[in-house]
Amino acid sequence: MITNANNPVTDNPPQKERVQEELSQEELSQEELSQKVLSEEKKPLEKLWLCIYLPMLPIEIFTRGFRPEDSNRPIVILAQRKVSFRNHSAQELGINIGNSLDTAFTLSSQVASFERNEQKEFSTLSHLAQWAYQFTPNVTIRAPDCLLLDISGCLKLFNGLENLKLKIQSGLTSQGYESVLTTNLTPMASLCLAKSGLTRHSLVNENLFSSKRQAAKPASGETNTNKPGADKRQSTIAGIAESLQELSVSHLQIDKKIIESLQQMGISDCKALFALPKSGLNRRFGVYFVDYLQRLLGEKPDPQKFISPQPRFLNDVTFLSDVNNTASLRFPINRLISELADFLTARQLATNHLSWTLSHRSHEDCNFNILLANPVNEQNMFMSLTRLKLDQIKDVKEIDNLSLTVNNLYPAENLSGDLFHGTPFQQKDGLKDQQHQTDMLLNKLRTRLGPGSCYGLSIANDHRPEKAWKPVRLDKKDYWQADMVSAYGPPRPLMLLSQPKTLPRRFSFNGTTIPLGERVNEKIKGKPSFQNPKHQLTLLKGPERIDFGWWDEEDLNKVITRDYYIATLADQGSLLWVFQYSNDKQWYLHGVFS
Amino acid sequence: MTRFPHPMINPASNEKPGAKGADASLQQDLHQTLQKAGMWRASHLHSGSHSGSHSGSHSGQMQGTPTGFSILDQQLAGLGWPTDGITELLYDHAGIGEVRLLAPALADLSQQKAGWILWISPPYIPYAPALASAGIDLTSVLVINPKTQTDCLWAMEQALASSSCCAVLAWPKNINDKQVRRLQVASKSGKSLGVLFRSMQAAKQASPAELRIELTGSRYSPLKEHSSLDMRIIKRRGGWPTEKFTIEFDDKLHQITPDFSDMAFRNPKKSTPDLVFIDPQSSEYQHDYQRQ
Repeated sequence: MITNANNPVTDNPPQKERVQEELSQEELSQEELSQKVLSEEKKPLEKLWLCIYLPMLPIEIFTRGFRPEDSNRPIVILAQRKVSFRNHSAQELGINIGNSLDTAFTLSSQVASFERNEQKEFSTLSHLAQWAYQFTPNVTIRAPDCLLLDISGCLKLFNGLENLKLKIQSGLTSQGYESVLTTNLTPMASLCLAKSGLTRHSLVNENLFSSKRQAAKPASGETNTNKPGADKRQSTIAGIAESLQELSVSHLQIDKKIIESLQQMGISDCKALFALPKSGLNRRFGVYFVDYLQRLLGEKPDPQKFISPQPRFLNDVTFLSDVNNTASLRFPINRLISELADFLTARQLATNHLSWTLSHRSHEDCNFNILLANPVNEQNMFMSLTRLKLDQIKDVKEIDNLSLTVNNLYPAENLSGDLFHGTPFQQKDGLKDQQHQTDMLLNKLRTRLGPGSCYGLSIANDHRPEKAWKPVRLDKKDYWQADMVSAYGPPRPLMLLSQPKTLPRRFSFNGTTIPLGERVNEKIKGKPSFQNPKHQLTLLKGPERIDFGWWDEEDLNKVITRDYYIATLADQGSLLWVFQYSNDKQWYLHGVFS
Repeated sequence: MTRFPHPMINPASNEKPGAKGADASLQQDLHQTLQKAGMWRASHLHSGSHSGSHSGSHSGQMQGTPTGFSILDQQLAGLGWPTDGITELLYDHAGIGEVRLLAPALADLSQQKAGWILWISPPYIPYAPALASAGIDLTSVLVINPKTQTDCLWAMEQALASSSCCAVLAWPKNINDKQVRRLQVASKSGKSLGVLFRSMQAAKQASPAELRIELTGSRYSPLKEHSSLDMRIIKRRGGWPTEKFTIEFDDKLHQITPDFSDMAFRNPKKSTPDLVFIDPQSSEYQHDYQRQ
């Protein structure tokens, strides 16, 4: 299968500008940074940086929606008609980077190809940054494929570094991303280690832990605490340099020309590079390179620009082959919903509106919305309602992309478990449970029957019978409260016809009896069965004269008053509410005393 | 209490000295069984409400929602509408009082804030002012109009099972006994009043519903001012079908306006309009202007 057409991009176009912004962040806020630099230069290095490197990101943005049985398919990503990325199975087949697509197809007919989509890569990366926000608030995006997390503040919360790494790695794997995790004391150092794949050289900030331990037990570490901060700093810098010794210069995040000239000088790894005098390097490669090296080793502070939590959720899944039945959407839907639930939990938010989009490159998009009665964060409820809605979609043609957008976010209710299970709190739980049940029923009804077919009732401030009530939308609950309900007013029928039905026009007076046709509801103009005395309408109570709404635009054309009567069908004993217009004496049925 | 012959006891053993004791223990067992929750005796249906001695067996039984009509309450097993099963109201002509029959119970339930009163595909719009004057709290009323019959039954089953509705009223177009059985099962878990409005034809078919009542409108008679409703219970728990009986509403709907015929019908020839628009352009008024 060849997929050369551009895959639909669900993100907004300004994302590209954001890429630029992220890349040039250091230039943008120079003044701001210089202040930080001054304040941080004296402090010892106390931060621990975790770098998440996603080597397969360009491929994974397409493949993560695959069913498990498709995961072994060779995939290549093309840039300018050459293979720029390939997955493991493609690598095993012998497809190399730089090969043409024809070469790849010669090696295997199973190869699936996608055009590289950098915009989508960035949006996925920023989504993952939002996901990583659950671990630490200090998350930086390093385009195109890295995230930097300052984890020094959250190690205790997650029971140490190893547990945290395990948690992050398994979280990424379950979302369908392969990752390389490295730690170091400076952001640049951990980034370089991750890119080079030297994970075992990760440096854990021993000082960070030891200094805290010393603070707790001052008696045991008397000699160490007296050590000045500058000395400690020197030793950590040496530690960073040591951890980077084996790093090839080609993995440094610098200009390619500098790398080339370094290699021509015979300097291949960082050990040799660090041995060179700084002043010479400064003269030769310019001040930016030396600045980079200083930041790499922690000699200069390197403040990062952290992301701010996103107030909306947007994620999508692309399918390898077109899906044409909704049953096979279950797996990707499950994945998206659990990601949404994670997103909401991390921010203590809840939502009441999920909008799904099923799209295909050659069809129009199919949208469906799920509206909930109250904002919640419940995976099961989202799942069951989505399934309910999905069952209703009949004419699914082909789908190659499924996306979920959530814009309406509300702060979640504080959920605290009861300390004392049992006696007095059970009642409160019962109430909550009742509320939950009600919400669930309402959600189900509105999802399956459509939000319009479900409404409440309210009386309205108008004397005209058809305007004396109004439907109430359940999310608004705009009930009109009358000062007093007119229990002693003239009786009203329990059921009202939406439109008054015409009764036979010709009638003969027989006292107070009007003959009607076979059935009241049927319009039998011109053929009233006068002969049948069983279908005779007897007027009982009335008239009650009801005036038109002279203030209302729509009523102005029909300046007519109505005389209402309660009538009974002699044979059936039904009580009906009928009226007659004052001008043309036409009779209508308007209500039924059910 | 009558003595029951027990199949396990050999008649020959009656002569043995322990026989009298065994008989006594048998009676005690029987007494204990009758005290159990959920046990009721058909003969207690009517007497249960009067005599205190059987109140124990009644408390174990599902208490119904009082109908508001004491004659009807007496006929029903839980002294009210059953809340653990479906009630079927069978009638042919709308307007005889089929909903007015439920109104007191609905008003009670809505005042207790027990949950929604759900109206599923009613034939006409439930009229809010009338519901309010019947004492029903409108904030607990929910109306849904499913497009298909399947959706209608689905909604009713969901509502009955969810226990967030105190009453579910439905007007299905046609429904068979299997579907009624499903609803019956759903209503057992939800403990809400479930009412199906069906046509009189359904009376001939068997139905698993807990309670079935045939409703016929009673004719207008000039002698009484209140409207009334004739009904016949054709299936109920703990009792045989009843004869036709009548309940009377307190609504004065049969009251005739005294001079009604003279006002509206005997003098229909009112030709000249009361209100005349004055046209300032007419010659009469032109003359007036000129004079000034």
